[in-house]
Amino acid sequence: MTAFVVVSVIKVFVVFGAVLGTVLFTIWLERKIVARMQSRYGPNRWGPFGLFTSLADGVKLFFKEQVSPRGIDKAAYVAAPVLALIPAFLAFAVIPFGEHVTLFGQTVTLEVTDLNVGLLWVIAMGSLAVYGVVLAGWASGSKYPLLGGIRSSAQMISYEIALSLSLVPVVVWAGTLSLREIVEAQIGTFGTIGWLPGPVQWIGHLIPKWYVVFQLPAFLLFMAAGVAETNRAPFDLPEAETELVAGYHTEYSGIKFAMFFLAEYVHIITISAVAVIMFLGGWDGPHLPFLPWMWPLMNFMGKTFTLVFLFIWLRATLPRIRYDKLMVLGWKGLIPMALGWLVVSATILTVKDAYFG
Amino acid sequence: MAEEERRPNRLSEEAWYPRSKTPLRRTRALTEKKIFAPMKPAIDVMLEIGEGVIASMKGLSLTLRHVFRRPVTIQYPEQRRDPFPRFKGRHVLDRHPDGLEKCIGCELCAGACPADAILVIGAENTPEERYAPGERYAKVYEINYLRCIFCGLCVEACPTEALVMSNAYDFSADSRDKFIFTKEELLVDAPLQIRDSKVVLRAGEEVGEYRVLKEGLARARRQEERRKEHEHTETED
Repeated sequence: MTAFVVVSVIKVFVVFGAVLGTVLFTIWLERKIVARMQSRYGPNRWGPFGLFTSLADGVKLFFKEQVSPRGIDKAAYVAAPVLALIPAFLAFAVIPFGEHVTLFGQTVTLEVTDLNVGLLWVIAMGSLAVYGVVLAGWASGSKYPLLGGIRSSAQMISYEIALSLSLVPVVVWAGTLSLREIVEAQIGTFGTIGWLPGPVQWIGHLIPKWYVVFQLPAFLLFMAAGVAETNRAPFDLPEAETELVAGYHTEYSGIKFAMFFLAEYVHIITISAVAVIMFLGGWDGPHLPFLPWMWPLMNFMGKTFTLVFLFIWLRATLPRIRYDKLMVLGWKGLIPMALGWLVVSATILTVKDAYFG
Repeated sequence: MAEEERRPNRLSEEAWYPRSKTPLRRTRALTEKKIFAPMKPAIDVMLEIGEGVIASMKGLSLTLRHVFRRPVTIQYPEQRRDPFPRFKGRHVLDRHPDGLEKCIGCELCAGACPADAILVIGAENTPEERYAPGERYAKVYEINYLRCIFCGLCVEACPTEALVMSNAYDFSADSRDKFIFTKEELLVDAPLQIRDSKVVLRAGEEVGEYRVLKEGLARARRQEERRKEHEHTETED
């Protein structure tokens, strides 16, 4: 029992630190990649390739003066950034990074906890994020943050439906909400495919059993809704600087602004990690004989950062979408498509179970 | 057509994004055939989606190609680009080959200056203290770079070609005082980074009808006072 508590506390701190470090790295990565896509260098002053720029920015924001405007709702104004940041980190409590390692005779699973409703927890924490944004918009006592907050509440609530619905087919196929079990269902390849003609039966050994193979529409829907859910370009209307200055965090400065900023990037990593777990086989991937504990982690991080790169790539490419078109895409496009795909994939599963056992 | 006549400022969708230029135009032309007429709406939606996907892929490939290109940024403090030959940068007071100053303290530059940025106070050369070949030399020569607009009229006005413009363009400082360049800083052989005044006259000292500037915008302040006095007298009338 004591060992369990100690291990859990250590895991909490390690995951917190790792996520914080990853976020700082992601901010640097985004600035660097977007810069290169715009034929610039990006940050290159602090440390090798400007790697410590995020750290320097963080220190600067931490020591900056806290400017709070007149006419704010003090309690909500202070609570909003915290409410934005905490759920973002809490979502990481159930995300499995790898199988398990044996340290000092203890078998340690590479996640803080394996909830049997893990996926529900992640989605719930994603929904809580809207409170931070809306409260920030309301409490600032200024028109641009208010408009940004209203926009984001409508946007995040709309797209969270599509986001959750696109995950349901995977849950139906896997038959569980535990993220670890969903990953374990995807490990391995299809093996020899019996119904193919003899000479090409071996091709099944090359195709991993990841859900993305049969759930590609769900994966695309999830990524589209995920970009909108994290308020990223081309769906970054809550902070559309051409119209709303900076949207809901216009009146925030210093460490409070840094909290919103961190929350946004934690959300990007969460969405990427969930996509990897649900569709891309989690830590499944190549294993080489040396350093056996490292490969699952490397696979997981490699896949996650590929998706993070996709987020950044989209941001550097696509212009911001108009607000009514965003709503049309969400309600008339993604939600019906997600519902339709749920029906189709449930049918496929039923037919498969009934006739192919 | 009628609608476009009523709203002339609004371009039709066709004008923004002509059908003839869309990536799937051949496929689209095929679907115009009569047999596809019953399925036309469904086909149109699918074509729309296909065109959107192709257009997005084009955009994404463009940004991805730029990752592998050389950035065009010039890393400024380390890398510098030479200005064009006739660039109008910071002024320089030239010297004759024998070391005497070309400036004769005639104040024509100060007179020509539209921004009132130049202060010249001339003095007589003496056999003991000879700075310029003729009778007079500039005892004080100050250019206020907070006022200067780099028009070059002073250079054109100079009768002895003493005042010329270099191509130095980056001389930022952290105090307004440091933008008033004195003669010691402007002379051609002065080290570029001299900032402290070595003027013979002290700041605030009056010479004839002039006052030597070294405190920020003293001249502007005096003009403002003069303007207020003028207004005062006007209202009295």
